[in-house]
Amino acid sequence: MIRIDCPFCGLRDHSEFSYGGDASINYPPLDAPAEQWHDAVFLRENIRGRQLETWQHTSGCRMWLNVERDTVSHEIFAVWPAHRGYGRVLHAEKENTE
Amino acid sequence: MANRLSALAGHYSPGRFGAEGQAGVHLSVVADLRLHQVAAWPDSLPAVGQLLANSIGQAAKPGPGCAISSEQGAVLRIEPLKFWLLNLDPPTIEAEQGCSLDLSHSRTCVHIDGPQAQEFLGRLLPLDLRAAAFPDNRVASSALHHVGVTLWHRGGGYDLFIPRGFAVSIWEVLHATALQFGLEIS
Ligand SMILES: [Zn+2]
Repeated sequence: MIRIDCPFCGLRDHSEFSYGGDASINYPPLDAPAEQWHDAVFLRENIRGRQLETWQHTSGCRMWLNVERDTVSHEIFAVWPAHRGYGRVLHAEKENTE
Repeated sequence: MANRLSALAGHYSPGRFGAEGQAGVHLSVVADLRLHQVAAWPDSLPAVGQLLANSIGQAAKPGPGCAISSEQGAVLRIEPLKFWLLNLDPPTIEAEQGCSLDLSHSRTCVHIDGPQAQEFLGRLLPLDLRAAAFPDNRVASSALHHVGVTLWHRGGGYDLFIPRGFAVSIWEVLHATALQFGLEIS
């Protein structure tokens, strides 16, 4: 069982999250050649070890998250909001309460 | 104004069910729910939160996963940029600051209490509901039988907000799960 420490909700079970995909992909501009889009959409490293992923807390706060996870041990090293605005809001609130 | 009909009308019968002895779980439906969702932008969140807190006579907005309440109403922090406002109409919010949406008809609210309410919910939700982790006025959204629900620990009991279209099937799950503890429906 994977548990993800959501920056808004706290530690929650895997069943509340949806996997989003590889967070390390830089998508090309909309008018880029089809080959570039093919590579960005379909080609993956299939990493054994630490990987950067996106997850959505679909049954919780619905926030998109970046997660750094080990694909073998499932150990999670870091979780942070994918949207910078959300990150800013949550960071400011944490500062205020500490 | 049109007469509101509970989503559980015809499926809800008060009484005493299941295991004998003291009823471990009490269920009741919160009638005529008044619920507005208020969303802000990242930069306007402090101002909108302040406005909502003041609208119920409180000093500061609720932090992540928390609720504040007074006799006028309650504010639940359900998402990083979203609040639920209960029991009163939202204050006027400029479009640049945020927006509000009336969700009164979109949720069915079941109040759960009784000596075994926490244990009962523990069978249904993947949440740590122990007092230290989920004290009074904590709020959490989660999934119950794959249906997105929101739970508010209120006054020693719990308010469970269920999407209206799933209210009957979740009610059946609640009813069946509560029988082992002894169920009282009021
Ligand atoms: Zn979350």
